[in-house]
Amino acid sequence: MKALVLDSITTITTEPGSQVVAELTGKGFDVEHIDLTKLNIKYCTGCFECWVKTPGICKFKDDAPEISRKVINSDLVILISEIVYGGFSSTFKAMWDRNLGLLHPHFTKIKGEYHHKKRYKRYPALIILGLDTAHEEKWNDIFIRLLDRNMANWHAPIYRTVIIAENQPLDVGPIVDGMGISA
Amino acid sequence: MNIVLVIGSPKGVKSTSNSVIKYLSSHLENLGVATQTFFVNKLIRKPETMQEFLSASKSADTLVLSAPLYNDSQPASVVKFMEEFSERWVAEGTDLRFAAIFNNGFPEAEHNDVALEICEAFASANSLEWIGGLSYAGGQAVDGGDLASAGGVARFIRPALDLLAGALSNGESVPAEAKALSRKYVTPKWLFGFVGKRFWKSKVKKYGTQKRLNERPYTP
Repeated sequence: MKALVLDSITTITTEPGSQVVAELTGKGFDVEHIDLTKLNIKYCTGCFECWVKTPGICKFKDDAPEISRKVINSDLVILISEIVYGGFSSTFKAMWDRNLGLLHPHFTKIKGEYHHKKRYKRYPALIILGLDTAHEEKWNDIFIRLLDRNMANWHAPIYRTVIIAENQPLDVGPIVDGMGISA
Repeated sequence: MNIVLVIGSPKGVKSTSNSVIKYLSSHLENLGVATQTFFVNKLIRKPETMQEFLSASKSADTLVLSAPLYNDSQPASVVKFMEEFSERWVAEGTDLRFAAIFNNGFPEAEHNDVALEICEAFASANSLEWIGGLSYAGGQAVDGGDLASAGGVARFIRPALDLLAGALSNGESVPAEAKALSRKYVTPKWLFGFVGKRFWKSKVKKYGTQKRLNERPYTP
């Protein structure tokens, strides 16, 4: 089972990404850890060429297309971002917005609301770790609701959103077990 | 009365977010309000533009952000703008109010709700007074055109912006009537699936990629 860790926080000593890698490797996952802060990723310009001109592929040839390839070929993806006003950080969002080609332009209804259809047959399970640095409960609440919306769009078969504190030891093992995912 | 307007779309001039701001600024100016418009692309790439924006905001009454919805929240460039604003903004001596207008390509305005909450949290963290937001669904169809002549696809957002302009010129918050109008369905839900499919099919036709629409380039 392939696990991909997309990590936009590498500046705090407890390094949640490294902890996650160690735990998942210990559970037998084939883990890849990507430091998003070191990548060259342009902001999405909303051109929709990844839907209409080169279906599924972004026109910008930077580090983002390879991330999309790795996401859709993973069984489990762990997303790590600081919580900024209840949303993702700009570093994380730059990568996240560039995955639009993984979806199809046509629409489907999920629980009575319109979302874009799947492009691919299967999508990875997701664990989202939101780093709480501002200690604002309201931001954490917004983040959880943001991910509920996001995961409907991203057709995640199963997901968990976890708010983590700085300098907090992580234990994703039980989360993964609770999701019924094993290597 | 002095209002600063920010277009939060990475598409810049050719965006629905700009269409909204152009319409709003025109009405504000007719009401005697001075406006200044900035594009988020320039704010995050040109320090001198960001400085000009910050100086304008220090003496402004209201800041209005108009942006598209990307992945249920602000585009990354708008998040970057918010982060940089927070680093450089000195609230002391200011009395800036903040409103936001989001547009999305779905039929439901609810998709914009979390983005508006993020804006409210941003306002609170930077000592701006949050005065509310508008939520425009089906903005895709405006596609950067002139809102005044956009016909039925803008039939609710136009009067909502008229009400907003009036309220802002009087130093008031976003009126409840404007919020409700902006959220009205441009396309009925039962019809949207058909209309949406036809919209994207017309876009695909331009590139002759109709038979490639369902391609899966990243999996075997």
